[in-house]
Amino acid sequence: MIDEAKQETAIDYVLGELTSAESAAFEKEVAANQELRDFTSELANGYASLALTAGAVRPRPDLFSQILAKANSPKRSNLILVSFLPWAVAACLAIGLLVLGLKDSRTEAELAEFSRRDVLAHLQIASLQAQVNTYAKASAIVVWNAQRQSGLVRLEELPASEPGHDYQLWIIDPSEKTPVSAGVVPVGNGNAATVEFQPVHRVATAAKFAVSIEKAGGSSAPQGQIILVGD
Amino acid sequence: MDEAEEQYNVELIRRVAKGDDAAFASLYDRLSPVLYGMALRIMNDAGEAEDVLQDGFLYIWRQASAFDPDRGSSFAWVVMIVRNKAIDKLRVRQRGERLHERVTSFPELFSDRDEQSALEPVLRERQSEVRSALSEVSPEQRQALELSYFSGLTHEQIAARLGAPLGTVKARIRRGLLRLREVFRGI
Repeated sequence: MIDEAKQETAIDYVLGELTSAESAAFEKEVAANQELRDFTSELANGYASLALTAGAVRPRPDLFSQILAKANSPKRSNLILVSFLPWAVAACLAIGLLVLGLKDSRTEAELAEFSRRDVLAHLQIASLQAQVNTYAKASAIVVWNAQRQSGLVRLEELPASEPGHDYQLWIIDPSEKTPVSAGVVPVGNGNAATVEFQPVHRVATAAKFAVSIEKAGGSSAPQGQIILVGD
Repeated sequence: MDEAEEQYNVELIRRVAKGDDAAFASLYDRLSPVLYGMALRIMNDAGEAEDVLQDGFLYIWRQASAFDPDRGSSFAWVVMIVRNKAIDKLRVRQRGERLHERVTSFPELFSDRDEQSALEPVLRERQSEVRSALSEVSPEQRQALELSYFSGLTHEQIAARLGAPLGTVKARIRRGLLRLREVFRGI
């Protein structure tokens, strides 16, 4: 028998009213409790069935062929990255200065010297591209300093985060079971943001970076939609 | 939806996960009228509804392997993917506006634009069951439930829109959802 409090939690879960942490905890309970799983599944079925009250309408006949063509097309080509590269290089230099704590303390000549040597070799630059059409114009550059375990992220063409939600940066480390949080990235009405970040714990290898939409304040593990990914 | 129908959809999704175009087309043919109708209701714009449908099916194509039939029905999985895409798009569109001002009226409970031929028989039956279930709940519960589903409003915004206390609105939505759940028990 599922008690009333647990029913309430299941309802809030189906309605999307739980925080990411609450959802994750509830999903663990569901996984271990068949009765609760059935109850939650029935609620979800009932809620989803409201779609049927909207009325059925056939989309235009050629829409599926467009969808199929996109489904079978290779992911974004390297052309996008190439077109992005000059900006990325400039961003690397500008952002790298900040990461290295060199801004205002070194001359350009010194930077050039550092470039020739190995300082910038410690920097890893990632270009993140949109994974969903809704954010097709969005992009990000991440500059990561593995030695310092810190970096900077620059988000572009991203709408301001919804009330109650934040964009959150993740570092994908192959040695970790889940992505490592690098914190939330507030994006205001300017549709862009540059934020310095540090992961919640040491990252051995930053194989990829990703941005997802999470509940306000962020999540300990990704719960929301991944909108940008890159390496 | 009966067990055989569910099993068929699950099998289609499994084939989609393997890159089977024919299975993808079959799934689209079966569900797109419901999904497009829902997207139209949420977006109130044919072009944006098409974008939502496209985004949703591309997500299904790429994430089909993540579908777990132990966690819910294929219908709920697909519907909620497209519904969430629509709500995301709606909220982006309405950013900068006052969200609750968009829903100036809620005139009809059920759309009259049904293309009966567009629905699979099993979905037609289910549609009838949902409508029957909703006809048994109070108009206030129906309104709160549908605003929750189609408008993208938070519970607080629905309460403001209806001029009702937040607790009352939540209770209405919950009671309505529990009634819908009774219809689909055991599915």
